[in-house]
Amino acid sequence: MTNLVKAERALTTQKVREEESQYLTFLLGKEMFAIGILSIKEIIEYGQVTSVPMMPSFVRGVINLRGQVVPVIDLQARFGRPSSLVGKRSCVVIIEIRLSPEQEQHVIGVLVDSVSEVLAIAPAQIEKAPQFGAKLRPDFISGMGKVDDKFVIILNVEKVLSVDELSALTERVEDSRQD
Amino acid sequence: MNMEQAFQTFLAESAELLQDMEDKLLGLENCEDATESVNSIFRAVHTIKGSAGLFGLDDIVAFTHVVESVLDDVRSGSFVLDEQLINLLLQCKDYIGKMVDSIEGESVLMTAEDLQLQQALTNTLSGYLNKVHSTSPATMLVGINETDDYQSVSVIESDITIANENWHISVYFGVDVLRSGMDPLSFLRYLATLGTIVHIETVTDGMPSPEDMDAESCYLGYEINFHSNATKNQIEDVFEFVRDDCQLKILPPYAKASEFIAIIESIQTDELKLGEILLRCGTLTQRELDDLLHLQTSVKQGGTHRLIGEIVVADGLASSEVVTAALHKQAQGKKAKEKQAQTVRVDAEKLDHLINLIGELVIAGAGVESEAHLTGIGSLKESAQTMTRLVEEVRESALHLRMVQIGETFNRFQRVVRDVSKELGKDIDLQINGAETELDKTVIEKISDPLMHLVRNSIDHGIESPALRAERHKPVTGNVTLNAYHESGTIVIEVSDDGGGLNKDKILQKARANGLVSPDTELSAHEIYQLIFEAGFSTADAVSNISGRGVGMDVVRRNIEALRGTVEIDSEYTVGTTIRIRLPLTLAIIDGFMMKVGDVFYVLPLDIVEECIELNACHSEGQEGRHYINLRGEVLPFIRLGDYFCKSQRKAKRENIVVIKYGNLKAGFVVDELMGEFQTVIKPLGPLFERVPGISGSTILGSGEVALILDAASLIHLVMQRDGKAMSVAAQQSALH
Amino acid sequence: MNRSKENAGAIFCPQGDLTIYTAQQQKEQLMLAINRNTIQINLSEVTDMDTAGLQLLILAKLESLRRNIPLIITGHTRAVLDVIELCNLSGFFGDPVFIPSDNADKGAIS
Repeated sequence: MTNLVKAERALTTQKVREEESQYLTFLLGKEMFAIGILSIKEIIEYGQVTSVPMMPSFVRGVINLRGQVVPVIDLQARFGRPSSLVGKRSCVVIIEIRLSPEQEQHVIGVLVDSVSEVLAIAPAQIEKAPQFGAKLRPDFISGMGKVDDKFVIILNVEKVLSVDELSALTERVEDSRQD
Repeated sequence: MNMEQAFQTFLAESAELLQDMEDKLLGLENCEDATESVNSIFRAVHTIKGSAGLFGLDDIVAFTHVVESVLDDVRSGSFVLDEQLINLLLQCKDYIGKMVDSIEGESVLMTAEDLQLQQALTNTLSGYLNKVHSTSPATMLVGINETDDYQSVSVIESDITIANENWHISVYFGVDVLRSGMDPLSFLRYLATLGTIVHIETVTDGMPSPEDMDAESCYLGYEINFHSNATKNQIEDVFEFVRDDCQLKILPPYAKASEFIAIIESIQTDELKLGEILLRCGTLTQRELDDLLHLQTSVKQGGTHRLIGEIVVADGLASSEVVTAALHKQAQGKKAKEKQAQTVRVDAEKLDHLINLIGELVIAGAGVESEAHLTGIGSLKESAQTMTRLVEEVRESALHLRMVQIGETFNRFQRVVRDVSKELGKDIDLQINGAETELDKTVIEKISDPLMHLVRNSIDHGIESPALRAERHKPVTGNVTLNAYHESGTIVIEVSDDGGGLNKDKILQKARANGLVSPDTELSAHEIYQLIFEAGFSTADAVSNISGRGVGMDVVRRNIEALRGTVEIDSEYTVGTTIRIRLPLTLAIIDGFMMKVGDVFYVLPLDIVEECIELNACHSEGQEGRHYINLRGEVLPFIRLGDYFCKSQRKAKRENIVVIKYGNLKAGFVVDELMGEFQTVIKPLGPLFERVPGISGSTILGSGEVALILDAASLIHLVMQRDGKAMSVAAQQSALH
Repeated sequence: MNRSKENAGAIFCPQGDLTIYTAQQQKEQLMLAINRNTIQINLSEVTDMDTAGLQLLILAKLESLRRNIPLIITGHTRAVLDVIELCNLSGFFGDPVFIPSDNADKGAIS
């Protein structure tokens, strides 16, 4: 009896850990990235994006997600690279982030070139982000996951999609246009 | 309904009733129809008392009971509602509100200070009661019976039950019933289907002389002894179409004698004769009729005559059930039911959810319609179209659910104006215009505080003292006006007063002293007035120095700006001030005008669109990069939305100019395609786009695409700024050369 | 036009519907019939009657009572009888109601 309970408990903890270490991997160009699946709401096909004028290039536009108007961020552009070209496999990953418990939840879409798979990466298999060399702002990276002897960049979604930072950037665009 | 829900209803209902009570009390000061107001004030207190009793809130019951007794005496005419009593009742209303707010479980937690106030109020109220009851033993009787809390109508101790086991219906048709196309006979025929008309008497007493008789007017009444198992509601429903146009009394079997007295009294005919009619109907026996008439006489002599009549009339038909059921709970249920018929409380969140779902439905419907179109099946297409149209209607009504009239918010200021002006010794009238203007509930909630501030300021600093007004040859009574109306797709709320107005020079002086304005800057009057919204002016010092406005105007502006609104001031020294708040219809629906630029749809509020014209060569557009056309002799500057918004330089074959007018601004927007009118649900664009100028929101089209709503004013402003900058840069450059 | 051909001026003889649609006109006709020593009404041509029609009859009755002259109503049709019966007014009108032969079986008269 006690054993059974124990076993059950072990199972649930294991489950939680598994969830914690599950990641959606996707491609941007030829590079593979990963995002923890807990923050992902859904993945939809790319289509019907309305571009918003006077926005920096990383803001692709807005889409209608079942009645909610959701911005779509071009990750490539956000990383300071040339914008993604929309192809057959382009997807929008819908992410829900809450920066702090008091703040309301933000729903943001992220444009990726293609979605690969959901992988389990054990915490032990995750290395710290390199200080340089990843061609990416270090604070965007939460870790480097080892998968089949290759590294996958695990993104720090809160930083990459920081609403404060993004909206500050949109304002700068406006200023520069005015000058 | 569980207890918690019932309790929430009680809280909400009490708040409403108290608000109503306040409105009516304030209305009394302006001499509105007193009886009706007093009755409804009485009902408000009575209902709160009853409901509080249900929840075992004895403290509230005890206090409201005293208030109710005083009101009852007012109803019976024992004394008049003078200003002093109105003041007292307003205080009581506040106190009851406080008690309701302080409910914890089954008790009311009041501070010692509050209890002192309660004691004082009770004492004053008792003063009134004693005055009456020492002089009139008859009303004393009422007072005693009233302590039986839940049987409000058991005021006549000797009220007898009539042994009639059938319903008695007394119906007198209004004069215009026939002209409205209704035939009383058909109601009688319909009534007969619900049971048996045991006896019917046609009352012809209303018939005038042949000369005065209008053949198209109705003069008849009927007294009916009716045997039926139908409920009162069912019987009432028979007369539904003439309900407002006839005098209808339905007495259940074994009704109380007092109610028959009421019928006899309410019909303008010989009392004896009507008694006989009731006798013939078999409703009353001879003995009962005798008792009744005797009772009526004795009551008249006893002095409570008015009281009976009034109570029955005031409580209307509902009370007949109260009496027979003799259960307060039932009365409560009935009252609650009546209330519900008028309004249903819905969680705002549920409403939003519903609106979102309907939005989805619209899109799904559009999908179905286009699929149906592809199949080529006629009947399918037709059904799909019908569905789309219905869905559209559903959406429209759902959206209007959120809209609330601003009147209620405005009315709350009556009290503020009254109290504050009395405090300050000023005589001020509050006028309300445009109370029926609708806006989104959330906006109303958020604008209430800033409005309060503005109104208080108007009273406090705007309206001069009576002495000064006299000196300035103004009427001694100052006027504060609240006004609301729709304009150019925005809602405008004005707070104006005919007070002292703003002193430009003093404001400028002050602003220079504070360093808000450099000493050599010249400002227009308008710009100077705007200064009072600057944070630097919100010092206590400013209150005394600047004639007119006081503290916290920067807070007001911030609140309004948080709603994406603007605020401006018109003022003339010694004449008055108007503060105009302009709010966008965020969260609301607007009638939009849709157009297309490149691949993107844009929407402008329809109200600001003046006309659309084709942009053709003869307008000689863009000569040397100039952007204006000759519109019937007027210079119309325009903005190429394509150039402005899209990077692509591709030009459509035909371009159109949408001419807009916003306030004094008139401008044209060049677009590729005109799509026409479109009912627009404004969706916020979210924090990411909060600071984007020129775009105020978005909307979802039937196709599922997102269209952007243009903020014409800020767009034009932006272009003007940019042009200005470009000009100054050019000037600088030419200066360098 | 509403007056009987053989007894012009004395008898109010409405034809067709005695309802709100014609009441105004018929009242005038009735008034003409009242200005006599008796009030005679022949209802045999009435096909339908509503409250407005009924009121005209009541008016005639009240007037006959006031002037103390006889009111003679003849030729009640089924439509008229139904209304009078519904309102329990046969006693009020008081005169013997002729039973039209085709409706004799109903026997609805007091």
